[in-house]
Amino acid sequence: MAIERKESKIRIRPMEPEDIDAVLAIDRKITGVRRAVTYTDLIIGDLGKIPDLSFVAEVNGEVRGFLLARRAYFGEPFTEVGLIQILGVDPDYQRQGIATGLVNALVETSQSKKLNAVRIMINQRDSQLQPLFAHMGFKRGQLIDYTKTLRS
Amino acid sequence: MASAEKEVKIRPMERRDIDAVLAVYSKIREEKIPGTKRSRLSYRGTMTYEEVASTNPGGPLDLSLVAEVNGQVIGFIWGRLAFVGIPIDEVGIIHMLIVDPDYQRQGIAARLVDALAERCHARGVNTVRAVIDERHWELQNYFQRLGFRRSELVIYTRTFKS
Repeated sequence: MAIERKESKIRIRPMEPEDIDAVLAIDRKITGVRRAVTYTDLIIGDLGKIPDLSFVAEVNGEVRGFLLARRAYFGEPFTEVGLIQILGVDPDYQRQGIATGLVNALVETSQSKKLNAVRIMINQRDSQLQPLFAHMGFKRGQLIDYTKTLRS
Repeated sequence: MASAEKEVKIRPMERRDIDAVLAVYSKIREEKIPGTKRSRLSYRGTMTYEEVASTNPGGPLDLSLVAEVNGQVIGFIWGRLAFVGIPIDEVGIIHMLIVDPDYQRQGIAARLVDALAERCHARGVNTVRAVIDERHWELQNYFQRLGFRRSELVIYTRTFKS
């Protein structure tokens, strides 16, 4: 089936509180899960502000991707980094450079804010994200994750 | 040396604790591993009041706790609630765990980790994470003893040239 695509224009801009619904819609589209309202509160989080390293990607004026990141002291060497928490792209708009554009925006902003690095946790079985980030100059270091699952 | 009989109180970190937290941090940063010139912390930089304050201790996403003896902070765990990944997972992330060298080997760090886990659990968050350098066997063994297991997550970093 041939899908005719108009020339789409991707615009990356800082995330605003008004974007939350669009962000949640993308998350739902990816995961098929409808989440509780508290999720929104927690994304906005401290001080009622969107973390200052978060961005959305608009295609023809509609939000089709987002990157949620915040400053964090994380890992060794213990240093202030931009920690990518969530990177989501509408499944219908993948493979158009949206994720790359979002990560580039984060890298540029983090550099201008004098952060030392940008970091993301990826599942080692994830064959989609690992090459993407490797291609963008990210390196797998010696940091590993230990997790404890609490009884519910 | 402090006596183990002194009562250790674990409580949530507040903004007023920031100076005390920085003092404990500085103490351990300057401590050398016996017989070496190496610090126990691989991070050699300083941590400022503004940096700790920016994490908003006592705020809605904060999970941090302090350990006190006679009203004096002698250890802390710095942790935050975070949403990570797709599908989004709500987790508690341990950023730092430090106990004054004079009070180590008394189970205080384990109590701080347990208390942080309880705070997560009370909020319906059932995963706690700690990011560790894979060369740091001592710390890995320690977290394993506390019930943590190595996950499938790996960390990718892009470091900027300074």
